Amino acid sequence: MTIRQTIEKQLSENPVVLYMKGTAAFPQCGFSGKAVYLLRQCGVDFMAVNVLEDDDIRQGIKDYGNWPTIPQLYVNGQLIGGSDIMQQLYDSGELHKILSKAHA
Amino acid sequence: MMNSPDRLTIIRERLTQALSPEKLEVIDDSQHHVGHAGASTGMGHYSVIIKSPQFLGKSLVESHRLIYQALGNLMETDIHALRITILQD
Repeated sequence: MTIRQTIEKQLSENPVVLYMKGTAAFPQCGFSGKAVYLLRQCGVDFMAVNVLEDDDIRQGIKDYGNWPTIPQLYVNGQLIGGSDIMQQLYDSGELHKILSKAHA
Repeated sequence: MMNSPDRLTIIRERLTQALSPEKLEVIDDSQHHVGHAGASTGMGHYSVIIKSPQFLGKSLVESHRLIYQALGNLMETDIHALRITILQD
């Protein structure tokens, strides 16, 4: 399976996927930690992919979404954004709405 | 890789050139991240606060992408982390 296929599989099988540095329990970067916190605040289940464990995924996800930074949140296969966008959407209440559609 | 004042200047220049911002502030946050894993590479942490007519009608993802595209290879060589705030009207 190519990296692109691996990513497509993760996104098709999981409505909410966070590509991050470290694990949800032990984020290795403040921005990834914030992303986990915001998802927890919204009370959703999500799949966390630790890009530090796999350099191919780390580069592959940057290419896949044409987005150069980690973390990246995907909902229903769509790139929602990084931690700044997540914070902005959380503050406006939009993140709750996006996530509730994901699990509907 | 450039030193920190040069980086700030070139970040400002690239964003100004690409996005003709009405407001632009670039802040070097690197000193807050000394000792953190990303800081050891010598790359910097920056915050950008920006308002540009080019973001009108664009989604947040599209707007952030324009910023990343304007910065180009700096995202690989000089910028470890970038906090982006897009100002609305």
